[in-house]
Amino acid sequence: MDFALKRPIPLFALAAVVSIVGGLCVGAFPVGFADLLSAIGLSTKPIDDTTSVVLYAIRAPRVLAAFCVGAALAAGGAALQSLFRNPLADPGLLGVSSGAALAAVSVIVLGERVMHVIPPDLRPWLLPIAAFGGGLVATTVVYRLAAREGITLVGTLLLAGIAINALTAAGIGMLVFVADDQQLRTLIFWTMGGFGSVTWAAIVPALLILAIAVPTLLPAAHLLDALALGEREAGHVGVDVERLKRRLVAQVALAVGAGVAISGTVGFVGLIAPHIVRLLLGPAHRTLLPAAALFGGAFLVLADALARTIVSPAELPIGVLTALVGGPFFLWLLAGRASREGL
Amino acid sequence: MSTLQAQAIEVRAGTKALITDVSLTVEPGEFLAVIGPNGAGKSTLLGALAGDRPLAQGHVLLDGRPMRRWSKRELAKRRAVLPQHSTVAFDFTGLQVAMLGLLAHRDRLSEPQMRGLAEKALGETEALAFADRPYTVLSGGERQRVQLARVLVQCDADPDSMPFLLLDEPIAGLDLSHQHAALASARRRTDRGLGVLAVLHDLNMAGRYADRVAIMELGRVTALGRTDATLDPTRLSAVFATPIVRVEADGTSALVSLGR
Repeated sequence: MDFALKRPIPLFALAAVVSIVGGLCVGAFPVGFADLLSAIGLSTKPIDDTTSVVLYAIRAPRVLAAFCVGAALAAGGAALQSLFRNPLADPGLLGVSSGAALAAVSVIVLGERVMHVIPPDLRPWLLPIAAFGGGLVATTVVYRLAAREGITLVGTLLLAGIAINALTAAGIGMLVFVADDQQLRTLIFWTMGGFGSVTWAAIVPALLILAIAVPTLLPAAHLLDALALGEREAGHVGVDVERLKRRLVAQVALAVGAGVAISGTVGFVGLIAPHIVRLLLGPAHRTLLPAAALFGGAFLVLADALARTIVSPAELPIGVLTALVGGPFFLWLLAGRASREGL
Repeated sequence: MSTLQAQAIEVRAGTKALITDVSLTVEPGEFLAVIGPNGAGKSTLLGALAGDRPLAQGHVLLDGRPMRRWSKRELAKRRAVLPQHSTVAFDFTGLQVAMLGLLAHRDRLSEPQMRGLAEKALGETEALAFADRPYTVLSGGERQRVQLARVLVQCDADPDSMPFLLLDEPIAGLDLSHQHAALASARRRTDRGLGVLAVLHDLNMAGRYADRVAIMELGRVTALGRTDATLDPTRLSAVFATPIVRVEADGTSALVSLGR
C-alpha cells in the first residue's frame, strides 16, 4: 500500500491496461486472450478472419475511444474544479458537455447545407471543432456568471449549469423537429451518449485533438495547485492568473468538445474520477491529473464493456450507466458538503 | 536603490475614493507599521503596494518600475503578500501550502531543497505539526501560521534578493506568544535588508516592532514618522476617538485605551 501511494501512476496505468484488455475481449463476440496476444504479434497462434475484423475494425477503435473520452472528461473535470476551486464542478453539470453537444448536433442536422463547400478531407474535423466552440461558449458563460473577482459562487455555478443544460435541451428539442429520420437516430444517440457507432475514420480527428489538449495540462500542474490558494494569492506567488484561466477554459472546452464529438454527452466521469483520486492520493495536480485521466479512461472502458454485454445483443446507452453510478455519488457528495459547510 | 514606493496614489471603488493622495516609501531594512481605524484604507493601500489594485491616480513603483510592467513571476521573487483571510480549496496539507510560496523559484530549486525551506519556515512559525495535516481541518490561528510560513519561505527562497514583505493584520487570530513570534520573524528579516510593511491594530505591537509608523484616516496618511514620535497618546486619542494614555511600569511603557 505504501508503494502504491508513493508510485501511484504505474499502478493506475496497470489498471488502465487491464481494463483495456478486458474491453477488447468481452462483448457479443468474445475474443480469447490468446487471440488478442496473436493479434498484437505476441503469439504465433493463427487467428481467424472474423476475430481479426472484430478486433481491429470494431473493438479496438471503440475501446480506444472510450478510454480517451474518459481520460479527457476526468482531466477536464479536474481542471474545471481547480478553476472554480470547487469539487462539484463537472463538465456535464456545468453545461460544458451539453453546449458542445448542441453545437455538434446543429452540425449534424443543419450542416448538410454547408458540407458541400468544405473539402472532404476536412469534414471529419467539423464536428469536433463545432463541439469545441459550443463547449467554449458554455464554459465562458458559466465562468462569467459564477466567478466574481476570483471567488466562485457555488449556488450560481450550479444554477448557471442548470440554465445552460435547459437551454441546450431546448435547442436540441427544436432540432428534433427539423431533423429527418436518419438524423433523428444520430441525434438521440448523441444526447444519450455511446460508443456504438465508433469507426476509425470518425474518431481520428477528435483523438488527435485530445492527444494535444489533455497531456498539455500536466506542465500547469503546479499553477493549478496555486489556484487553490485563491486567485489573488496565486498571483502573489507568481501565477499569471488571467492567462492561466483563459488557457484552462480553452483546454477544457477542447478536451470535452472532442470527447463529445466522439461519444455524445457522457455524464459524471469528470466528477467521479478526480474525486476518488483525490481521496486516495491527495489534491496535488501533478499526480491528480494523470491518475484521474487513467482512472476515468479505465472507468469508461469498463462502463462501455458493461453497456454492450448486460442486455446483449442490444446495447444500453453508456450515459445511462454513468448516470446510474454518478447520480447517487453526486448526491452523496452534496449531502456531505451541505452538512459541513452549506456547499 | 531598491524601494517600494507609492506616489500620490488614489484607488477607487466605482465613484468612491478608497484612498486619496497617498505617498509613502518602504525602505529596505525597515519595518513600517500602518495603523488606523476600520475603513481608513489600510488594506487598500497594502493591496495597491502589492500590485493588486488598479490606480485611479499616481504610481506604485518597485525599484523605480511601475507595478504593471513587472511580470507576476518576477514580482513574486521581489515581494510576498500575506492577505487578511485566506482559504484553501481541497485538502492540501500544511507543507503543500507552504511550498506554494516557492512557485516562482521552482526552476532553480530541487524538490528536497524546497521541502527543506518550507519545513524550516513551518518550524519558525511553530506549524511543523501541521505539515502533513489538511489545511482545511486547522483552526484559524493554525491556518494563519501556515500562511505566514508560506510568505516567509517566499522571502527566504533566494538569499541574494531583498524582497518586500506585505502583511495585512498578520497577528489577528494569533495568541500572544505567536503574535510576538510572527512579528519577530518579520523583524529578523529586516536585518538582512528586507522591507516590511504590516497593517496592525495593536498599538503596542506596532510600538515594539516597527521602525516607522504611518497613521491612516479616511483614506489619507495623516501622520508618518519614527515610531516613538508618531505613537503619541494625544494624537492617537483623536485618531481612534477614544482616550489613550501611556502607562509606565517595570521600566517599560504601554499604550492603554481607557474606553469611550
